[in-house]
Amino acid sequence: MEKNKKIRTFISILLILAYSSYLIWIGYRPFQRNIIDPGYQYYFLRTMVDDQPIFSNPDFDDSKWSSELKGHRGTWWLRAKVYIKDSLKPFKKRGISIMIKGSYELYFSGVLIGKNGKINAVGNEEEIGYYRQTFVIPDTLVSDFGYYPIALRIANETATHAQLPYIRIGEYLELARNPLSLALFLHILAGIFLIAGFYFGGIFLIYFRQKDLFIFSILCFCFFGLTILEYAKYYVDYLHTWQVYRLVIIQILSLIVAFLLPSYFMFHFKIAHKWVILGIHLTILLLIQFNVSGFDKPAYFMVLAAFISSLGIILLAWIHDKKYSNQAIVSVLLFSVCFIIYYDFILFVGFLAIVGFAIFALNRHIKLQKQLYEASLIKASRLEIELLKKKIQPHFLMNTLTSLINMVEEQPAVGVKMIHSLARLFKMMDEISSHPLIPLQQEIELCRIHLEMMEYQREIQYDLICSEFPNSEQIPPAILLTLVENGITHQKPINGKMSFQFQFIEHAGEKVYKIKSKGKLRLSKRKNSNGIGLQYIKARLDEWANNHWSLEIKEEKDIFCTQIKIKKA
Amino acid sequence: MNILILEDERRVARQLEKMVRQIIGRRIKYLKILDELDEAIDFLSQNTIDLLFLDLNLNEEDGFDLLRSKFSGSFNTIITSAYSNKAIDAFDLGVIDFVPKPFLQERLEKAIQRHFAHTPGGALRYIVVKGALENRIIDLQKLIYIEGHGKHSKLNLITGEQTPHHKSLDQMQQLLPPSFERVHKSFIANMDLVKDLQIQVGSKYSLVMLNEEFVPVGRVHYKRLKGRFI
Repeated sequence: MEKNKKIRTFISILLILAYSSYLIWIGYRPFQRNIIDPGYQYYFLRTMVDDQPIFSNPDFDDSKWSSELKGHRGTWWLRAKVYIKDSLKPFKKRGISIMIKGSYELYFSGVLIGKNGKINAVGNEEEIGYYRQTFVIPDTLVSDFGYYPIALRIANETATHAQLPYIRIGEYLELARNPLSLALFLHILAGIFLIAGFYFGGIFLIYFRQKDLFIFSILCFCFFGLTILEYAKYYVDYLHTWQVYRLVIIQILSLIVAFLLPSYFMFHFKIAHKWVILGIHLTILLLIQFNVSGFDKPAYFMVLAAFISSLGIILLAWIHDKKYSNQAIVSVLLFSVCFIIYYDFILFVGFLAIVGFAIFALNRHIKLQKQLYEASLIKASRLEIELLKKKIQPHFLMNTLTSLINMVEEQPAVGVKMIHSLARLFKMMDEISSHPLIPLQQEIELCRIHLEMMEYQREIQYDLICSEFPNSEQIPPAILLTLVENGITHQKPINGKMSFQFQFIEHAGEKVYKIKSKGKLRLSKRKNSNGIGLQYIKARLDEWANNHWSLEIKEEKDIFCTQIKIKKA
Repeated sequence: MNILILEDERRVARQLEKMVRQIIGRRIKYLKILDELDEAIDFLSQNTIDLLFLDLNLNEEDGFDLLRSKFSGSFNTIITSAYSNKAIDAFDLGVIDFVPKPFLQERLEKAIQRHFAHTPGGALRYIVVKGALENRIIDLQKLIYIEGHGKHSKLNLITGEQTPHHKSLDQMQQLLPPSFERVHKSFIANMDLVKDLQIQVGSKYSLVMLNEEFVPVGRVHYKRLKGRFI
């Protein structure tokens, strides 16, 4: 076992060091988006903070302009070249799709082909444009394959962050439609996250008050929000000034997600020193947030940090051989694919793996709970049978009947009384047997009837003296009865008499039930017996008070005292 | 005649006493009622009795313990218990009868008659066959031979009747008195009821029983037995 632990620790450390350094290295590669996303297919980007009509001229020499995009504000121009490489099918239109934080006029080969918002002559935004726009390129402007110049006259008084404009050339309808198919797919995922959020939240509220379920519910809602916000841009026309708020919200959600993901595993696997580890994790997240510039990069590194922390936590659980840690490892490794392939939408697909794990673990948990519940049902019905058996077991029943015969023959009037007592006893057993708790008053009554029967049968005088107790007090059935029965079998009367004393005491945190019986202890009972009767009492107390009870048996001289203490939960 | 009733419920004991007195009142010299095992053992160490009525559940102690004690051989025992399923064990310990509670006068009379038919000796005199409804008590004097069938055996009675038994032949042999001898690897015969030993065709050996039935004899056992039949 110990050896196994060492091996697992070694593997874990190796895996987490190698894999996380690989992923961090991937994250530092120069702007990975450019590699895959075909949305940035423009060349020779030039910008100039100035405003002259001649800038729209395709032959204008912009070689002196800046080739970098800074946080330009006010009115400025952007010139670039797009490459048109394929021919159009008949009756199709070419289009250009642009995402940029600003209102603008778009010139294609020197011809104004579209406006986003309205810019007046002074270069002020009279009307604020949308963040995303798609324009038709007139057929007359494109004659052949090759580079075509575009120019944007941009006005953006509110711009705060520099963001590379997204410019894409293509068939007009496809430009509008293609992002929608991606959005559609991701909205299906969003739906799954939403339902999972409600599912886990509901389970948390109704069934199990477990922190991990609550955390996972919030995590699902955050992922739902992230998905919707990320892809709403394709079908909601919003003003370019809102883009920054959208990004801020996405970033906050990313921070929450990055904090909750390891927290979920932390609480799920009940790892020690939770708050210390989560504190360190949160510090790292905040360091990333305030030290990495931009919107996408900090989000990427925060989620990466969340993955590394989660993997660490799960490996810790794996080292301690916790249930389902294997499955958790698989799910986070699947999740981590998003860092390798393409962070953007793969992140959401990756999260699906974790949702899958959470549902798996929850269902296993529910199954376990159900089994426990069924076991408790079986136990309860077994106890009921045990209780009923007390009075129909041959020893009691046949002895009673034999005594009755004797009564009927010798003292018929007393015999009739005894029959009535017996009837009351059976009636009461029937009433109480199916209840886990009965009024204490009823239990005392049960003991009295039993003693009455025993008086007839054993010709011994039995007394039961009770202390005061509140009417509302309850107790599992036949516990005191069992103690009284034990007293009868374990002790001999003194001068034909035996007395029982019941005391109920309620302290601040506990209730005490005490039964004392006075009588000579039978020789053979000197050894402390742990008979069937005591097993019954223990099982009942377990059912009633879980572990919060104690049973103490004392004997001194002629007094046998059993004390049951119930601690209040 | 001295009688001891060991019964933990006073009124039950009184009822039993009353019934016993009705049956053999005149012959009783004394009748003692006790309700505890230890007391009974004390009592038996100082007194001799002829007949014991024994309850099996004595304040949760096992009445059988008395039958396993050194005193058990000197008197006849009749079990009086509510647990009729314990009868089988009771007969293995050499009791002469088992009267279930509540007592029936006729049943008790029969049990007491059995007492008079037997001198106390502690040896097994009856064997019990488990039945679906009732256990059947078989007098060993009526049992001619037993045939083994793996884990079970078959009892052959003098009446020609056959009845299965839940014990194996080996277990039977340990239980039964010496008059029952193993004569073949799957036969035990009651030697009190043997008429003759015969050699049959093909040098097969058989015991001829009182009811003219044949019981096969193994070669090994023949050598031991043949001296007795010359």
